[in-house]
Amino acid sequence: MTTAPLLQVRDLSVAFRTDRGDVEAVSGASLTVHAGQTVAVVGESGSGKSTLTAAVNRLLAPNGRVTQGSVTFDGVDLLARSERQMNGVRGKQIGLVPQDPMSNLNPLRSVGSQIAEVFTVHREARVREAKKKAVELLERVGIADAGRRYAQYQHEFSGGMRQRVLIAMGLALRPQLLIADEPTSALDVTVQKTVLDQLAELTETMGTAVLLVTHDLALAAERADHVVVMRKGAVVEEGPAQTVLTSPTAEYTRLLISAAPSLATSSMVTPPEGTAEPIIEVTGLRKEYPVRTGALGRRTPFTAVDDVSFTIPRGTTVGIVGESGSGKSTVAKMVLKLAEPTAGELAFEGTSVTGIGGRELFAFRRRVQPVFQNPYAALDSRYTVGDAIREPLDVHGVGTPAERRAKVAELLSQVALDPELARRYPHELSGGQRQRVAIARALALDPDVVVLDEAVSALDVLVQAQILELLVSLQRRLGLSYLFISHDLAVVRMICHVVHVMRAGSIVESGSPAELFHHPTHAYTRALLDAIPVGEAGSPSVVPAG
Amino acid sequence: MTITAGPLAEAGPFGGTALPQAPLDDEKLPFRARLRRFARPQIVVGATVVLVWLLVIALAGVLAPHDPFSSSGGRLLPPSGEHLFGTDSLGRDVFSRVLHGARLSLPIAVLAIVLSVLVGSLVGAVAGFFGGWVDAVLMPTADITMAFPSILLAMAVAAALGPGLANAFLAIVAVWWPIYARLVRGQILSIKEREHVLAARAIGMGRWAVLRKHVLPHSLTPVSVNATMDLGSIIILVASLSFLGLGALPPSPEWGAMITDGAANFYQWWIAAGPGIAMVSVVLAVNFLGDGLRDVFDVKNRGR
Amino acid sequence: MLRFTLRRLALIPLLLWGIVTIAFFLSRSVSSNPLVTIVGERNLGNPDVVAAATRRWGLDKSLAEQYWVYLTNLVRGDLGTSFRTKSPVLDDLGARLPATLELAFTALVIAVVLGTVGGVIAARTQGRVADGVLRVAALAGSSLPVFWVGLVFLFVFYATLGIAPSPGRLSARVIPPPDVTGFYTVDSLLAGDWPLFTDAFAHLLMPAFIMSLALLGTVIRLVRSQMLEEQGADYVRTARAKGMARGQVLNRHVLKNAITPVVTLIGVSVGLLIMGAVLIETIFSWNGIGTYAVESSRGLDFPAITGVCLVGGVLFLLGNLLTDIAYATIDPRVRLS
Repeated sequence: MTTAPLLQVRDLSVAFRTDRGDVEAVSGASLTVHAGQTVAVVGESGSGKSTLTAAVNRLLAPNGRVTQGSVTFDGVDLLARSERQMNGVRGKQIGLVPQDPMSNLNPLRSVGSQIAEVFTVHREARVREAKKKAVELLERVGIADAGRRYAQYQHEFSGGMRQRVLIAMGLALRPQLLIADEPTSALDVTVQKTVLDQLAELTETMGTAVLLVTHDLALAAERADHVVVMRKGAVVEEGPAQTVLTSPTAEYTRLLISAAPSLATSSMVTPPEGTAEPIIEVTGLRKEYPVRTGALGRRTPFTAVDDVSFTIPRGTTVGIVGESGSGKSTVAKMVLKLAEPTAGELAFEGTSVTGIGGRELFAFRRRVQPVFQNPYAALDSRYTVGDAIREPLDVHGVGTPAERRAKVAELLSQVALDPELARRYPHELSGGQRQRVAIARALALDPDVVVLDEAVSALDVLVQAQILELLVSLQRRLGLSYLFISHDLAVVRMICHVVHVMRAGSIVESGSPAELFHHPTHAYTRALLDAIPVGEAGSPSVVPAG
Repeated sequence: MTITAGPLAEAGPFGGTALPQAPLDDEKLPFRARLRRFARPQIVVGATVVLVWLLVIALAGVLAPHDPFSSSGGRLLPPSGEHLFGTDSLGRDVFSRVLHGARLSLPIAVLAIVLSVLVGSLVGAVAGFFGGWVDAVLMPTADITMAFPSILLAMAVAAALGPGLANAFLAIVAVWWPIYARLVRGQILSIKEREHVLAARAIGMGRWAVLRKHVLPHSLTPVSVNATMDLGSIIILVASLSFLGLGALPPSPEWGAMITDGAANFYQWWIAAGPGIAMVSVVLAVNFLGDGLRDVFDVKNRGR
Repeated sequence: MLRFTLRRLALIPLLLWGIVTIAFFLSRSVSSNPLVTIVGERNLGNPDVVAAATRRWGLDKSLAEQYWVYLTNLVRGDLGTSFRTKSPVLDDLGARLPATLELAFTALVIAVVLGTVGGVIAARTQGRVADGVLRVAALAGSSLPVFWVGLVFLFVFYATLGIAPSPGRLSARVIPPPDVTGFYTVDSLLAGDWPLFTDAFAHLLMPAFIMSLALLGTVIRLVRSQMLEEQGADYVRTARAKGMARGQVLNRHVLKNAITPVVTLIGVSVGLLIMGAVLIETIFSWNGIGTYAVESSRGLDFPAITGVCLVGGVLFLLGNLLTDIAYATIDPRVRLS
């Protein structure tokens, strides 16, 4: 391109002052955005991608500062501008669509007024006209009944609609550059696609350049012209989206590509020989919650799970896929007997365990163990890693104290962690390490079934891949059966033998990953498949192993 | 400060990813780093003054120049070298009485808060954790007690039991425990939904064990901060009851009772000034301490 | 919203019943003999007088009977007769309540207004001198024993400097305004009597200020911490990304969000204010519920004690209810839940 770039970041470094000294978040990063272009910045957590964009519109946290480099926007050095001048730039020339729609809107003020505010603050319109423009914008981003919705509050909107409101706010004054910081990461998969489509349509029409921040490389390649890959504060690769995806130069990029589930070319598991007998059998499972609705507080039951039936054959992985509100986590809790079903039967090894309690329940717990989603919350921060892993053994009185200590060391090795870590506390470990600890703890009682409720959803892509590999190898070695709950169809595809798709409490489709991916029958399954970013507009690029 | 490259855990760049943030509470950091966090001016000042008063309590007998119970000079004498805070209506040295008074007001208050916290926490924990009818039976008692304006209830209890510091102590505990019942109950309600509690249940741990090992320890911090801040209020409440004639009896050198004497002899300002200044210094120190502690734990929670 | 209010209102009688029961049994578990107050020390030796008094005041009945009588009377609006004043407790309370309310209300206004202003200043100047001073002052406010400060203020400003008026609602020998609300300040304004108003107001100022101190400190600290917390909120950052200056964000977004918890404080502060009332009224010779409570408990005047507790409880519960309603009005999320 011979025209001058709209945004030019050169050798930027940003540091934060913390309790533990100065930490450099961005080191000598450079990137370029031309008018009308979409540039994606891709990286895992801690890569500095968000910090980089924060530095562009100078909204770093108070303890952050730019230590070197320049940011030139439309020929002007942004770092040299006064705060007052920056106020004029923000919103008008550089817009922002932030990540979490729930916390980014003032809950005590109407949604529409917050859009109108953009106009009044920049003196582009008076109050009444600003309101009119805001209503128009709401329509433009696809919110029906915009006039009435203007006066509603943030909590009266769904997640996707809230995000559209934020998009409306960001694009209100038709800025030349829009910074979109993980704009859809907090949303359901199917909603993500529609919101991103909307965003793309708007920015194309308005000719807005977009700086898109994301952790999903496939998504970046699909939506952007140009991709910049960051790692630990530095830019490791950049180039046109398709080039980076098909012929990456940096080793890290290669790793990201191979680890990304949606770009995966083969499944990690082989189908089992013969049909194994079911170890868990779920029949007609139903869960209702009494909820008060209406002015007089009538109790109407809310059905979270409606007549769900499936089996888990021994030694296999059964996946349940669904978005939020599908009931998949509730199913997991019922299988773990952490929640009691309103109706339906649960059988373990052919014997019914539906209403058991006391000693039988205690015995059951040894055979079925969980791994939860949030690696930061699942381990009690006041106990060491060793304590956490040993606790199930203590509770069930397995072996002598010495034997238990030895078992802890053995378990840690099994999950590829140094046995020395037993003395550390959870917060000293990374997210991936904590999740391994959680797996070790789940294995402590030599269970038959492990229920993994979004167990890898909160992990970075590379770490996620490692954990999935670990799970697969453990299954092979120990003959474990898994119930794998996830919202990510791509991940489920890699590790499961059978997949059930859930929606609004019911299973809408079941089958092997190959079947589902190549011959989906239900419209919802198709919508889910459609929503997976695959790096290029069009066909999924997967060839499964089985 | 050296710049170290590395992943960010707590320092917040704007935005952030969809991944969960750093841990919430009770990190077990290396001891020295933990200690440094407590080196705030409020804590240092507060703790120093508290220490001084602890010394006074221990050494009152030695430090006081005169016997607090008998006359050591003329009545109603203004402050002098001999009597730092003058003498009261019975000729007793006010300064000595103030020092000895510390032995009454402060330990009673500490005991009162400790007992209130213990009783309240137990009730609140059980009510919050087990819920159901247990909650429905226990909490209304707390609610009713809290609906009673505390001073009136304390007065009523103290009046019923009769005057005396011990009865005032009981009155205060009766009034104060529901505050901790409510506080702890609220804490428990939120803690028991956390994933690590679910994980404990999933391995088959009994409910009492889960409460004891995984729920209660996480409520310790807010409770102890609250208790430290309440200590000041209780010291004042003890003195208030005595002031109204419902607590300490003469010739006890309890500070509130001394102020009553001071009110009766209004123009001999030193009689009320002594115990008043003493009380203010203690309460201020304790409040500083509590405020500082709350800041420390708050900041830690935010990871900043 | 309606259901919410109704549910709260339904709880009140239950709680009040609890208060009354506790107060009743507490006051009657006293070891000393209430007859002392009723008939006077001298007449205790006279068996006829004692017997007559015992019968008349219902003290010959069993405790359970007395309780039942009290409850049934209570439902009819009769709070019994005071042992000391020999007039109906309800009348006694009615005569004294306005004085206390006038004091408490003024204290509340002072605390909320000054406290909010102080809290906002402290938040905006965070880390600098003004913030530090305000924080210490707030802490001090909560650390000062109200009754002692009252004495100190009286001594310094009245006895020594002579700028404050004498204790009491009005200067000596001044006639109160015609009774409309019971609030001397309001009534004198209604009567158009300006000098009377200034006198009443001048007498009101010092005790009300001292009473406000504890609450003032809490409000400053609360507003400050809320504002600081809101300042770090995500939506603040988004607002700045729209191009709003820091000050604008503060005023348009943060302030409203930060004020809401102060509303909750108001409900809780009723308890604090009653405590202040009991102590301050004693020192400032203020003829309100506070002095009535103290005299009643000293004189073992059961009906009066129970009556005072009842009034206190009602005020507290009403305060809580108002707070909840106010909160629901300000925060739209609460309305829908």
